[in-house]
Amino acid sequence: MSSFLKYHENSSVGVDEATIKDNVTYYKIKVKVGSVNWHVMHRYNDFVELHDKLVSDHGVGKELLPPKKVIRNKTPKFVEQRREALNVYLKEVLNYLKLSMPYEFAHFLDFHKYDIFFLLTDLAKTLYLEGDNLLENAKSYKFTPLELHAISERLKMACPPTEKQDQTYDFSHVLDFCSQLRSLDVEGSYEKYGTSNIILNELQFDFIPFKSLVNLRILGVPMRCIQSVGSLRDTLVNLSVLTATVISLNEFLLVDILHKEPSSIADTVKWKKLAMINFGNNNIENVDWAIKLVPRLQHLSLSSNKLKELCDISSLHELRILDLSMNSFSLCEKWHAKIGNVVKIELSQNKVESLRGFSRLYSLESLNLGCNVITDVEEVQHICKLPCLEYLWLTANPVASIIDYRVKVIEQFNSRMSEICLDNERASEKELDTARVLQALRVVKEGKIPTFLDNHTSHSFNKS
Amino acid sequence: MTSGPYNYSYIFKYIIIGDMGVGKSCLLHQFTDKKFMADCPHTIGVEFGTRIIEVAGQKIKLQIWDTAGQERFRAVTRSYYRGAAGALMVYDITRRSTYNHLSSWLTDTRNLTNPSTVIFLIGNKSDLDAQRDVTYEEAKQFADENGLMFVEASAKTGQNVEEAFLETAKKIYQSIQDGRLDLNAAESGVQHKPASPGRPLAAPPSSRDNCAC
Ligand SMILES: Nc1nc2c(ncn2[C@@H]2O[C@H](COP(=O)(O)OP(=O)(O)O)[C@@H](O)[C@H]2O)c(=O)[nH]1
Ligand SMILES: [Mg+2]
Repeated sequence: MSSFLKYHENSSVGVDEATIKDNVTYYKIKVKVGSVNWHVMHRYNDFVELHDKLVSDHGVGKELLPPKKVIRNKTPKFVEQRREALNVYLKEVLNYLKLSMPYEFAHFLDFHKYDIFFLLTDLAKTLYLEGDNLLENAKSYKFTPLELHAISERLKMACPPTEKQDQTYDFSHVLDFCSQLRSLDVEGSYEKYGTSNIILNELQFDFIPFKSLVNLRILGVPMRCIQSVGSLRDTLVNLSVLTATVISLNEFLLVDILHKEPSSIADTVKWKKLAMINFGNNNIENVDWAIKLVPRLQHLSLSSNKLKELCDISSLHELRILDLSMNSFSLCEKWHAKIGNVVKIELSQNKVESLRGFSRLYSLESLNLGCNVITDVEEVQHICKLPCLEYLWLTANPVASIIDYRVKVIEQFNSRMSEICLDNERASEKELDTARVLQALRVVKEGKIPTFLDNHTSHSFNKS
Repeated sequence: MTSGPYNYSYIFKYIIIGDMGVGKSCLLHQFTDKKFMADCPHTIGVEFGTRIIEVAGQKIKLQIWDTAGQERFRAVTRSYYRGAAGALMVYDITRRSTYNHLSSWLTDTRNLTNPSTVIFLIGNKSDLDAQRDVTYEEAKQFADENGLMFVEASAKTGQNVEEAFLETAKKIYQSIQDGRLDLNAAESGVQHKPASPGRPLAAPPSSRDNCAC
């Protein structure tokens, strides 16, 4: 990002070319500040407007700007002459105003889009005028990585005496807003920003100014951009880091910790209030130990990653919802030993073959196994005794295409079969009747008394 | 949260200055969060905090810049003096050196702020009376000689912290009333907040503003 304050000695402007669009001539101005460059298009009239301001307020010589010409001002020869004259003009003006850099001139050159200082003066004004309304509406606010980078860098810079001394433009208003903001959205990009050579995802920033942030959503920003999480560990409740090519959770959870070994981690790096984590659409292969740094976690969503196995996360006592859809789970061995009192598991679009691993997840109420590779209807035996299970999805598994699939699944829940909602649908009376017959057959086969005979007790069965 | 936090008619800008370790950041935290942060991390460059207070029935938002005391950050922190309406100058009553440096802090402040800037001297860590290295009388005399307001305070117990920030605000508010402070001057450190559309701010204190919530 441009920092004119730092690199004004190493900056330049030039009018490179002229283009005619809809019968209007535009001059393409190339701006360079240090290693950053961009361009901006202006008509001759824009130059005149700027020039008037610079003459009246900043002592620029009146005769400096090439004069107006009313007729035959579109001939290639004339346009080329004027381009060169404007080129000389801009270079001279920049040279003359380098140190004071008046607001009007900076704006003319689009500094407010690409330069740390000028971007923030504009942002300060916006937030001074709108900030309180935005905070009151409690909607989430979107900052670009460019703005976040500018804020982080600005905090490390001496703030210079500027020509624009109106307090409305004071940086305090930006920090004031940040310190109160509760919901923040950040969206990255690998494209060049505007007409510049700036790439958002190469800019570093931190969250230090955000003292009250509750919800944070990061989309498509690589973790190497984040230098510090500031006080997020004390305030954040909901965190989403989506499509960010993250390999491991601790890329974010420990982003500002140098030594990421479990032994060297102090209590102060715990995420004290964090209850929801969504790392959807990343490249995570393992849920690593760092998840223990989120002791209050209730909802973990790792949809669309590369997970095959789950590590022991039973220390997360408050975990209730686990979304692992679109991963590569196949066996799910002994999950009761790995996860605590989870209520809902999403495992659709995986490669699960067997339900054996779920047989002792006694708190489970909802299990989504749509689009997996379960073939044998008898697999349901492993979960039919789970006392709270109510919602089950087996749709788009091989098992779902066998004859009488629904009845054969429901039947296995014995006295609770009317409570089960299979693939979004409870059993119809007809299905229940058929299921009872099947069950009777099974019972006879196994030599026990059919449970449907004491149907009334089954209905008063009370989940805890 | 009620709409309370967004109702105010003035913004005052403050800076907190003084040697490293005198408790500037702790004072800020005590004032904004009513908490003592014993293990407050060292300030790098500048820190920032806000709180809304009430002076003479007017809601005023304080925007407070907390600066790093080390010499190497001086260039950064100096630039924040400009446009401060209030300056809290802090020393540590248990460390004489921090008191001895006051004259240099004061010179900076006088040079870099404007004449209407209110300077308030705080002798911090008053809870550590047993380790006192600077007497109250001595500091009081220094304050009087230089026309500063003065209290001893403790960021730990909270004693006099509220007072220091509020008294400064009252003095600034007085200056506005007297016309000594020009609201339109770019570096006054005071901004009158215009009412936003649909939400009159300058209205006479309404019943909601007055309720003790
Ligand atoms: N006993 C006591 N300790 C304090 C008080 N204020 C700050 N401290 C301690 O002094 C040290 C420096 O405080 P800090 O606010 O970081 O100083 P700063 O460098 O001026 O910002 C910290 O260890 C604080 O715990 C106080 O009022 N009483
Ligand atoms: Mg500090």
